[in-house]
Amino acid sequence: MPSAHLTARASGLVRCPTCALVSGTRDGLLCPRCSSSVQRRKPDSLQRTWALTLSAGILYIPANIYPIMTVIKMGYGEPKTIIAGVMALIEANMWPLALIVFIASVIVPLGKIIILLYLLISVQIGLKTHLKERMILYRLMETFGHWSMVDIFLVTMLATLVKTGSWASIEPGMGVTFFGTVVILTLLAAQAFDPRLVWDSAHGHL
Amino acid sequence: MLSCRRCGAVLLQNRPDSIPRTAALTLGAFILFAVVNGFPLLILKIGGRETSLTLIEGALELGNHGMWEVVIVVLLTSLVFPALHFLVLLYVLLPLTLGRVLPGAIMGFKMADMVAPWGMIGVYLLGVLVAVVKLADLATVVPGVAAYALGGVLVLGTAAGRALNHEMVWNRIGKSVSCHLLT
Ligand SMILES: [Zn+2]
Repeated sequence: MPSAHLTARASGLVRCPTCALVSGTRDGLLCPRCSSSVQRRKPDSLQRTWALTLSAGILYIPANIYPIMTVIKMGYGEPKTIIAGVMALIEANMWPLALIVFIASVIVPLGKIIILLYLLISVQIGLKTHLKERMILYRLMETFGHWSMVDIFLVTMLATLVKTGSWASIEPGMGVTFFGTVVILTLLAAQAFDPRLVWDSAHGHL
Repeated sequence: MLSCRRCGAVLLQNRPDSIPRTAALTLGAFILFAVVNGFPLLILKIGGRETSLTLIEGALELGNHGMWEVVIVVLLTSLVFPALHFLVLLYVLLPLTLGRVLPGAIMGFKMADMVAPWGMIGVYLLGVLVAVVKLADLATVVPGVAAYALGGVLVLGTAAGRALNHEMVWNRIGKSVSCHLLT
């Protein structure tokens, strides 16, 4: 429900993206307080978000197919994918931890890609409903987005502790690089998206 | 507290003593973070042998497997960005408690905001916890001094983030603005 609030944009004002000063600075000039470039909207937000989101979506496939690590015990290697890592925790009956890791490594990255696609499409077709809900989704994504990095940190720790030559070894796999790239791309995509476009498009001036 | 009427995001919150409190909490977090880097994070015991790893060793190991891009990402998010965040905040806030503004404070404060979302200490700690559980059936793994110190960094760093009043800092370090619409 687009409402009749007076916005900075309508009053010829801009809010500095860095220091939040609301001033009458013209678009593209410098903020009078902190000298950051002041723009009413993030430049090329939609194009950049689309590119980053689609790349993340494509790389999400190899990130889940390739193992993130191989556990070698007595000469026998067992490659583990992201999902297998979660399954192992469930099998070990570590339910609370399994749930947290499931959310961090499966729900968060997949959820982020889906939310980004939904936000992008809803803005492009000028959807006029669920404005506040879409802002909540955007903020959820900003808050929880970086938790997927837990798998990357985990592999680095396990590979260092359990090295070749001892009783067993853990080798990092290709999946780490793909999964890490997906996490970084979704973080960059969330940063590139300008949530004010949700309101702009609902009011018909994208 | 002032929040956006349209979407509910908090725009402005006033807390007294914000600057000295944030400076003290940030200093504590920074000192603890130095401790983190000098002590083992995880200790693995098997038979009579002990293997341990520090934060930096953990990050560098993947370099031996040729995954340097992962090494760089891990080093940046677990070490460089959190340290840089605390350092530039201290550079801005400590002199401010004495009413001084050092050259480059504006750039420093901008940088602190820029690197903040890329520091992932909390996520790293979850990784430490999962590592302990995952290795439990193979060997005895205990968190080292650095793991507890990292927990302290997370608590102090989060408290500093909550205490920080951006508007107040910008008012002190930024160029004076005659027509100030928000406050
Ligand atoms: Zn500004």
